[in-house]
Amino acid sequence: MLAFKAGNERAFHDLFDKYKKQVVNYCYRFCGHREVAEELAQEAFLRIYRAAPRYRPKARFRTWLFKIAANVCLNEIRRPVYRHQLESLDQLPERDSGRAGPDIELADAERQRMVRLAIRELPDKQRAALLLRVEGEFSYKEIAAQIGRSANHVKTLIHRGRLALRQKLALYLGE
Amino acid sequence: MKDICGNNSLLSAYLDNELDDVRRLEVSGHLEGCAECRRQLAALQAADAMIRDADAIEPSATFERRFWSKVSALERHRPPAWKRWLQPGWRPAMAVGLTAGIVLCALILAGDRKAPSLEDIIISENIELLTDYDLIRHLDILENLDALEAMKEKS
Repeated sequence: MLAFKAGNERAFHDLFDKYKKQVVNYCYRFCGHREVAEELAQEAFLRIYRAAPRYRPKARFRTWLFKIAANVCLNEIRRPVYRHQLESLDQLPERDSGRAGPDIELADAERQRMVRLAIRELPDKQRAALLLRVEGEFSYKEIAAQIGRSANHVKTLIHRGRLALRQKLALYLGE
Repeated sequence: MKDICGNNSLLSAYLDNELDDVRRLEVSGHLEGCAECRRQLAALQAADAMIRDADAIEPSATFERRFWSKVSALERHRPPAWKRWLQPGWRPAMAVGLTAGIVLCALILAGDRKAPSLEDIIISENIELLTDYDLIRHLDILENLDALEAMKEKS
């Protein structure tokens, strides 16, 4: 990022290539909708691009990137344009076919859909914190800085998020 | 161990490796002997695994192209450098800069004027007294002293 700030355009291309899949998937898990997730991920990268002249490395670049991605998800998802798209949710992603029999595939697809819905039904901050922990593998301290809460609050958010997921997915967790 | 058994919040932090060493050892010790807490921990781990195993997607084929189009549009609409200084975000910085410039100019101009010497001050304070002396009143004669001496030598 410092190289890009110094004028090396190639450096931003490299960052984009390195992190695009991670950011798209964070947004996808957050909202459960492919097109919306891609729009959110692009918005996050655009904000990084615009912020480059003011960039000061206070934390790992990845921590900063996901802070922006999490905030884009938390704020942008309320916009009417995304809300409409999310209401028509539940499209399934393309999966490798021919891997297993149709029944198994169907059951797997249904389980995936239920997991996505369960995550999406979590309150926004719980979802953001839990995904930053499980998906991003950030520490409570890092997540606290990313979503603007204390580390103790993050601990509570993650714990409650896990409990809620356990309840919603009890059927699939064999409980 | 009472505060450990059934404490899901603690188990959640344990799972995330967010406990200090002492607490971590306490929880580990408790888990060895408590089947119910082991079951709770396994359920939390399973919930995490479901999130991790949830279908990951590849960015679509047009993802990258759409992003760079947005960057190009951003660059096209970006005002030139001099105009960016007039944007609201820069106004406080500009005001501070202008004020500093004005103060600096004033200081430089003030620095060009020489301070009056002690002798000048004494003369200005005693100017009336000094003009009472004939010598001082006819001081202009001294300016032609050389010419007077030359005339004296000729005569």
